[in-house]
Amino acid sequence: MSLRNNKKDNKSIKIKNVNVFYGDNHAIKDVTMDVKEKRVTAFIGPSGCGKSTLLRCLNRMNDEIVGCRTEGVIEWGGVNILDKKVDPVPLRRAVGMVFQKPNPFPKSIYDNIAYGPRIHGITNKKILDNIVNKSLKDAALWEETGERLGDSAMGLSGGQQQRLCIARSLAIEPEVILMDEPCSALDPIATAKIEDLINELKKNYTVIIVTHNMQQAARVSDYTGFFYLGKLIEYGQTKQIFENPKEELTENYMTGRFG
Amino acid sequence: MLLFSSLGDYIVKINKNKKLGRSMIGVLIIVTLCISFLSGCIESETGGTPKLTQTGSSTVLPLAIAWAEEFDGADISVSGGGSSHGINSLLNGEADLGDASRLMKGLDYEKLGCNAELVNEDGTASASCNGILPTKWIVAYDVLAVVVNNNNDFATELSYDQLYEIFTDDNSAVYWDDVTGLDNAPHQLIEIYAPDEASGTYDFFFEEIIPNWGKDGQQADTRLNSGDGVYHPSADDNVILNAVKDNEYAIGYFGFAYYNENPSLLQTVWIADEGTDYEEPSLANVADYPMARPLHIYTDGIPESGNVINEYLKYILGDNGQDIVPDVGYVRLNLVDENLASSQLAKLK
Amino acid sequence: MSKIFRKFKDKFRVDEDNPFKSHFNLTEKTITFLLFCSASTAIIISAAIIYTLLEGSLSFFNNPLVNILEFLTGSKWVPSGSNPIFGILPLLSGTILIAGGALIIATPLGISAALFLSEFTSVKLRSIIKPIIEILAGIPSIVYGFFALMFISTFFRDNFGASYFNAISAIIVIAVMILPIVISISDDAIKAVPNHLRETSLALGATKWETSTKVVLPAASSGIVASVLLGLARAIGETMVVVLAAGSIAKLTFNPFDEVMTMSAYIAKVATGDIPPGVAVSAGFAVGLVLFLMTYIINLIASKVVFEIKTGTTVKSKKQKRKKFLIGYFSKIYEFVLLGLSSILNGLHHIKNIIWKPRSLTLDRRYWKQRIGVTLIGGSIIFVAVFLVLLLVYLISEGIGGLNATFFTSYPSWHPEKAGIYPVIMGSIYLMGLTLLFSAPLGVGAAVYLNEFAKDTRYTRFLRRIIQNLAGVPSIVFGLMGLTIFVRLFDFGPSLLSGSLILTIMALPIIVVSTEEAVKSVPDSFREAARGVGSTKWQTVRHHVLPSASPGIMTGIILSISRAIGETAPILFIVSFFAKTAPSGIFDSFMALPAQIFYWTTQPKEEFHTLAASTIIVLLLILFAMNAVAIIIRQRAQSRRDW
Repeated sequence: MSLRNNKKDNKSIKIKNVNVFYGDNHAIKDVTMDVKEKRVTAFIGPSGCGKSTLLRCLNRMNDEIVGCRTEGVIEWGGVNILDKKVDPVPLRRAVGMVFQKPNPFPKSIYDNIAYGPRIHGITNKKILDNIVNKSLKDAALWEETGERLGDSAMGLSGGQQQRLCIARSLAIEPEVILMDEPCSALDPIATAKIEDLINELKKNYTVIIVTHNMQQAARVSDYTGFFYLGKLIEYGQTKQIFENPKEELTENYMTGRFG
Repeated sequence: MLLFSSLGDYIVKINKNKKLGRSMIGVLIIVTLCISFLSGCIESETGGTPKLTQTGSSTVLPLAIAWAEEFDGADISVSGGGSSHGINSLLNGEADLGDASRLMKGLDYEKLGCNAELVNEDGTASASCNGILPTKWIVAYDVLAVVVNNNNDFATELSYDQLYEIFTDDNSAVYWDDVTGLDNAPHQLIEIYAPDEASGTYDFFFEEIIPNWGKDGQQADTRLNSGDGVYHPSADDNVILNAVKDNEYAIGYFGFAYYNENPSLLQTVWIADEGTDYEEPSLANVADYPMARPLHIYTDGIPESGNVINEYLKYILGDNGQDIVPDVGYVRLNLVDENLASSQLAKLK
Repeated sequence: MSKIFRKFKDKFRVDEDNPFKSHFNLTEKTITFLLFCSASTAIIISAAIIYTLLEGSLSFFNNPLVNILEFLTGSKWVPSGSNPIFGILPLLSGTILIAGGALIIATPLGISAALFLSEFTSVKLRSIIKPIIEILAGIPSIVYGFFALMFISTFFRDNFGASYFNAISAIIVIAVMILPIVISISDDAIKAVPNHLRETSLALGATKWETSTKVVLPAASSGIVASVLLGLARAIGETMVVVLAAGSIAKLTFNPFDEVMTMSAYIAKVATGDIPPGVAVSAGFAVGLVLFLMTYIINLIASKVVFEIKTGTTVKSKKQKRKKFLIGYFSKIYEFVLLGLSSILNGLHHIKNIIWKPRSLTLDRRYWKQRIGVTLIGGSIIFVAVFLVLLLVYLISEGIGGLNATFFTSYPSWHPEKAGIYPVIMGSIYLMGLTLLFSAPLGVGAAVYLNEFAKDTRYTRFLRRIIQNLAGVPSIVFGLMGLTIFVRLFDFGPSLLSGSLILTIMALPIIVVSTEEAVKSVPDSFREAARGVGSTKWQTVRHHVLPSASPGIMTGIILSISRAIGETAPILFIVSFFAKTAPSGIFDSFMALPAQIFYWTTQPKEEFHTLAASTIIVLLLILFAMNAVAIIIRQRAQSRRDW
């Protein structure tokens, strides 16, 4: 039983003239870009340049912040997801998110992953079991946890917890996965595992990853967008951005003139 | 103004300790100064009047309050706590006057470690305890009224024997028609609403109807202690009144004073002791009515002439004090015995 | 000989080689010592309570009439007469019936209200509702008792044939009394759930309602359970309401329309001195001991959790738990309780799913669930508001007529039309002032010592726990202790001094806790900066910590004094019911507002009930003013705070 609806071809995410304000603070300034389907796109740039803010527009998480105002259009599957009429609740099922700090629920591993599907109406135990198993396998966590699904998720290591969070997002079968600096709280080994995972994921999902680690962006992404002080400075294929940036600002950032 | 000088000393002494900003202390000082100033304005009379403390029986309490208010010679602070507390406080030196609706007993001495034998049958003491010699003064009488519902036409006259059957655990009557001699009574459960065992009224009532009450060989125990739930005790006369008022088959008892507040709400029962006629409880009837008990105040020895307690007692036993007694709902001494007041006044000369 | 002398001199001489040698600072040492003493008074107080209870209980159990097994398991309580029987079960059943009933009502209401307040209200709505709940918390129990007897009990008598005194009126009123405890601590627990858990849930496509009920509530569960436990302890110890409304027959029953006697009510009877001296009186101490132990254990378990939530500290290592066997034992029980609760809930959920085949959960249905859910829990707030309105309207309608000039200037005459409360108000004010004088330095000193001066040793942790536990002791037990120690042992008699000392002890734990909170909230950077320029500890505290913490400290003091001033049970047998003038010295006897209310409520004439209602209005106004001041101080401090 597939949870996906509205399966259409060519589901790239078209971001058009998006502006975001926190009160008087103009955080995102007129960003326009086209995020390709089933590819990994990285948002890079120095701290506070708005990458996370833009990311959060894509699943309407900014709605939860008081005083935050978003203007512009983000077109996906023929629908402007920024439109007030679009209910964020079903949207977030199709656009999943993994946060910076691993944040499993204080429940068992099984319940963590089953939470999403249960919310969306699946109560049949067999089906839930299948979903849990599949998600854990897809997140490369099955080997380590398959035997102890009833254990508390809080007992896992940082890296394992993050993969659990990824499994949790996968369980509701989204089409897009948003990752907000997913490895910044992890050690290099765990990071490597997650990066491998991302490579696998892009076969089936559109992945957008925010990272302040340039090398990670270079390793993992197909497209990269460089942001500075709320503006999109340059966007293109990762190879090109890194080896042959068009903008001087981009080049300065790459070469470490500022951080 | 003792309070404020001690406050002031205290503030200085604990300034080292006090962590709050000076403003807090400042505010406190200003506030208390204002209040003391204001209180000086409002308080008219009492500046330098002697103070007395009076405590004890809750039966005597309303009378004590009335006397304390009308007596001009002292500023008397009155509290309750029960007869035991009253006697205890007197013996502890905590109070100047101890009100009691019962007589002092050996147990009262025993509680303070004194010899119980020193207390006589009549509630006087042959020797002091703790340096205090409790001296008994009879100040008024209380008439105990047995009450029933206004619709009750079957139990309006009861003898001591019948009261015994109703109120003790000895072959207790369960239904009204179980009671010997109440032939017209309905076959309905008896419900009792009456004072609890802490009350002096309770003590007095059962002393009347249970032979050897409080001694070895006490003939029976009270219905309350039978545990059958028929006797609903209450420390609150208001409760008893309302319960009997609302329940056709209820019976209770309390001080006549209380009944007299709202005489239309209940009926009183005419009582007959062994071999006497049925008498109605009333203020006028008290010489004949079997259930009339004395109310006492205990002091430390006989206060000397000139002492404010002496003046107070003279007031209470004199006409002025006795005139108030019926207003409070109790019985003045001369209705019981003409000489009772004067013989006690004589001791105070 | 001279060597020793030189060593002694050396201590005080400035050493030229070592410019940084530490000097003996007399001020610092004295202050530290004084503060240490303040903190340690908690131990003295606890010892006094235990001494009082143990002494009385021992004399009780030594009495040949008494059998300890029968005491613990007997089902008849007949304390006087020729054949006294002392079986505590009827008293225990009374307590459990009333406390349990109150808990059944207050738990769902309180948790719903807390959830609603913290998750589903706007800031504006919250700022209206929170004060309402704080008002409820500030109403003294004597007022609730009056309302229970005069209004609620009448309703049940008329419509349900309840007996004159009944448990149900006490149950309802006590439920409302413990609501603020459950709400405020559950609210804290819910707020303490980290926001990223909510975010994650929302990001998975859950609705707000689903997030609140499936993620936030379970995460806050230990705090919520703790709040319920604290409410339970409070209900168990409640005295004035049950004395006025529930009755004095010791009956082993669970019928709420019956009259019952609770443990606290029996102790009150003993404490008011009405019971003839002897074994019945010492039985009161034994019952007090049982009551104390019950509330102590419950508070022990719950306070630990609450402390952790409030201060954001996590449970210290499991090592510590294992060290103290008893504590660990109870923590284990607590964990089991939580586990049991959650499995019961799970089981119920499964059963529900079997009975009702769950229909497919469309988005629409989920939103309907949300709407219904939020409405239901919002209803709990409405219930609270309605109760409060009912209470206030009743009080005002009964009492406002009596508020004339005579009322405020004369003394409590036995002629109701002449009666007034001037000396009573003065008595309460003096009581308040003295209590403030004693408790503020002690409480603030103790808190400052614990937070700023003391190292984290076993002794300080012990002290802190003792202080927290004092907060949970029923007020009637303080009364017993005060009577034994201050009135009798120290021979202060029934005076302002005794009364204020008792109230001081009651106010102390609250002041300590709120001062600690205020002091803890001062950022460490202030202290570091001060120490960095060479201040001593005391200088740091005096010049930097205390000024920043003072709004919180003052608020705490005001609130604790206002709580103390509404207390009736502990001073009931020290207070007078009549005097013409206000007290003029600390050894004078006195009258107090709550006690006068009690006295007039129990008088026959209706006019005295009206006087009681009028006095209640005055008392509430004073309390309201004090609370308003506290809130204003707090608001101004918050807005002025720039850190």
